[in-house]
Amino acid sequence: MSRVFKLKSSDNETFEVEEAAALLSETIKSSSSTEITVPNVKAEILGKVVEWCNKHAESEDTKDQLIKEWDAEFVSVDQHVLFKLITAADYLQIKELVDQLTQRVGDMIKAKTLKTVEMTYPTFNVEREVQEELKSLGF
Amino acid sequence: MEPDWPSLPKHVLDSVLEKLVSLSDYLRFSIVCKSWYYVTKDNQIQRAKMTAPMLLICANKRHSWNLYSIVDDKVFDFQLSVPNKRYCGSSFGWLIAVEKNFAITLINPFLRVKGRRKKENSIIRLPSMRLPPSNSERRRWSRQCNHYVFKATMSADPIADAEDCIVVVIYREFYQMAFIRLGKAATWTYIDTGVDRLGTLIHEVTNVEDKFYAVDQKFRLLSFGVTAESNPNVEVVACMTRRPALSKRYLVYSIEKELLMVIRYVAYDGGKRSTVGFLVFELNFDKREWVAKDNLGDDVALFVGDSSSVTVPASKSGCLSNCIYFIHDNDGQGYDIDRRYHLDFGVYNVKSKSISQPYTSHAKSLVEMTDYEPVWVKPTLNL
Repeated sequence: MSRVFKLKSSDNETFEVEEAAALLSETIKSSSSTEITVPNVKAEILGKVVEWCNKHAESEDTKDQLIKEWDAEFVSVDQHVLFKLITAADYLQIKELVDQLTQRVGDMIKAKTLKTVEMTYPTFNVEREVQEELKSLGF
Repeated sequence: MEPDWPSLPKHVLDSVLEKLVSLSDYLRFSIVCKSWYYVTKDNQIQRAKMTAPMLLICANKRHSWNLYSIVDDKVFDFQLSVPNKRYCGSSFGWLIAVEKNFAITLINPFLRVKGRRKKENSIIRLPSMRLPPSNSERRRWSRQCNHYVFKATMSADPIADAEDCIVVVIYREFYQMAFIRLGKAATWTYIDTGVDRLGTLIHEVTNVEDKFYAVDQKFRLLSFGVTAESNPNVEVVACMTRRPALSKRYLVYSIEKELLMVIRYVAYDGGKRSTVGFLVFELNFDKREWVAKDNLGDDVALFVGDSSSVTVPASKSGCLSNCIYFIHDNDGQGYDIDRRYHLDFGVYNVKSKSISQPYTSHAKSLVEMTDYEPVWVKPTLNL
């Protein structure tokens, strides 16, 4: 009989997850209990992670074109949601999800939509040298 | 307010960086914030293993070389200031050159960008080799010093890994070998292959972990270790029963940890040389024999020329998988050849056995006009 796991978000919402979906997380796999609290992850984000796990548990062939399209849509979120999803997926150690999310970060760097965090580190002057390097390389 | 990107853990950032193939993306990653910059620095050595060589092409103006990146499909705007000559080797991003007094120098072209302050340590001078035995040979080779060494290679990065850096040369007196430990020896050690001296002409030598492997004109594979300054013991590891005729050969310890011998068939039309095809063999260490392979590896690209043969992971470096990127290299004629005759370059697909020339027209015209053989060089990314 398949077990049911209970995942609790930091804002006290509980998600019930079937075994096949839950065990996509290494953290849950190595947990002794079926009730896991995920610290620092709110319901909105945890819900999305659960959605991803459910989708990937039910599809047998993850190389299928349909699931690829679904995955592409899943990661097309704004920076803030993306960041929170990475943090959650990393805590839960869901390798493939982390991989897809980091791929998206890479795509944002290519598209130059991920910009320098200038304001937080005003004394970070290496940036100027590297920008010059980029310019002189003709990029 | 921006998400707290700087706080992402290192292993997650390693995962992002791994997915960035081109040089420009790699640099943009490094400037997102300070902690990402440091992650890039930490990953430099790993990154270097994944980076494809670039093509250094002499611009014929004094000390001016252009740089072409096949992966970024770009000839860069800047030029590099290194002497205009034929280089006998290129290893870990350093060119290997022979001077008139038979001294060997290592030059890092990426630390010598024209118009910018030259970085220190861009030239490493090694002791002179011993002079050729007769006066007439001395005169001859002094004039053609760039050809006195047929090919040279190194075992490690001479700055990052100086402790493990050994330079090996194949020099013209009967294509024998000599080596020197960087910073540890004042003289070169000459290797007596012990295998019928006049019968062994070394074509290529490569480093595999703590040993060196060399192949001679009869396709014998020799190996030797370099632990002391005394003459190392040379062992014959393997032979070939059916030997390919008239061909060039390269040795490479691939990223899949196989020792490969790659045979290059060339044809001559007048003075013009062109490559017809390649064969790949893998050494079966236990059986001491070469086994023919019909591919380089699942995700492997190979670069051959006068430089040390290198393989890179194809998808991570942006290269074509199972392909050999070749350029013109020395036939051992002992002097600089006319520019019309070093146009033997292209990409060979091992599976389809076909040759293509994916260079941009700008790069092609630079190669066609250059006075000296272009060289593959692994870029040194200065962060």
